[in-house]
Amino acid sequence: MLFNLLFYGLAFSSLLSAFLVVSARQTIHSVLALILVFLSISGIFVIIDMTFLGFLLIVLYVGAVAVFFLFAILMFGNKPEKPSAWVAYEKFFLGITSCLFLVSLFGLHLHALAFDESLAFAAIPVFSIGLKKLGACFYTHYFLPFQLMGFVLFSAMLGGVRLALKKNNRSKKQMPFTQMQHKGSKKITLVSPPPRKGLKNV
Amino acid sequence: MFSYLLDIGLFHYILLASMLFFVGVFGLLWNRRNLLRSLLAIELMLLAANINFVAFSKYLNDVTGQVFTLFIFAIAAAESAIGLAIFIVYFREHNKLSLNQPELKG
Repeated sequence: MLFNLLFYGLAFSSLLSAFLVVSARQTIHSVLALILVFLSISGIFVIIDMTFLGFLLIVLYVGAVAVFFLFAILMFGNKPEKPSAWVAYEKFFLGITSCLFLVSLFGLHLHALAFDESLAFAAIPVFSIGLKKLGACFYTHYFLPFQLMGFVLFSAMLGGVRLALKKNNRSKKQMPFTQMQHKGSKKITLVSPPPRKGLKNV
Repeated sequence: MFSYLLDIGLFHYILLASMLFFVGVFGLLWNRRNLLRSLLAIELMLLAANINFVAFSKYLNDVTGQVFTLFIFAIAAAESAIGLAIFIVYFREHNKLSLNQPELKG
């Protein structure tokens, strides 16, 4: 019964937050709602006994991807759009979603408090047998895709830096390699202008 | 009907994943005024695929689903990084992030 309540609470919280992601008036509300989606789905992963994937979702998605989106909003600006039809209830839906999520988060402890049980059973084992199996499969059968993921992330880093790099023309930085490649014969031409004629027709 | 509500099975997870996926699809299509929101919708779609993999991994007792979920995490992070870098270049050029106004002049 507790599992059902937790599942429905987290599932509705994630669906409401997903609606808010696509229809919020300001972009920063979208990103915060996306963080709430990630936290709800991470909760669903935890109650299904995939605790490693649940916490990995928080570390990677919320901690890296969503923070990256926040930095992007910092750069692009936060212009509010024209309100759509149901956005008048935006704060109401945010309130319901937060309540659902928080209740689901503390659901185990609330259950223990309500039924006078000890809280010791509410400790979620993170390093379970499933994690050993996951590591064993990951590093033996899927070792080659694991290395390829490293290459994918490396190329993504290279591509991101190369695309977003801005050449700073005010700096007096020297690039010795480029400078050594200059040929004097291509940069300087020796001319002998006729006297009192100037350089225009040379 | 109550058995469907009370016994959480594979069907519920697939339903949740498909609903999140369609919210992501409609978010991608409806947000031409703000491209950043389309990228958030793409993240929602990837998350729906993740839920699908994890649910099948749990109910078929196969650890391969979780392995593929890890791959999708990495790919999603890399793709959002590259997408935001492209948005940065686009923003420097046009000074806005919307696809509404016509850009070709003349």
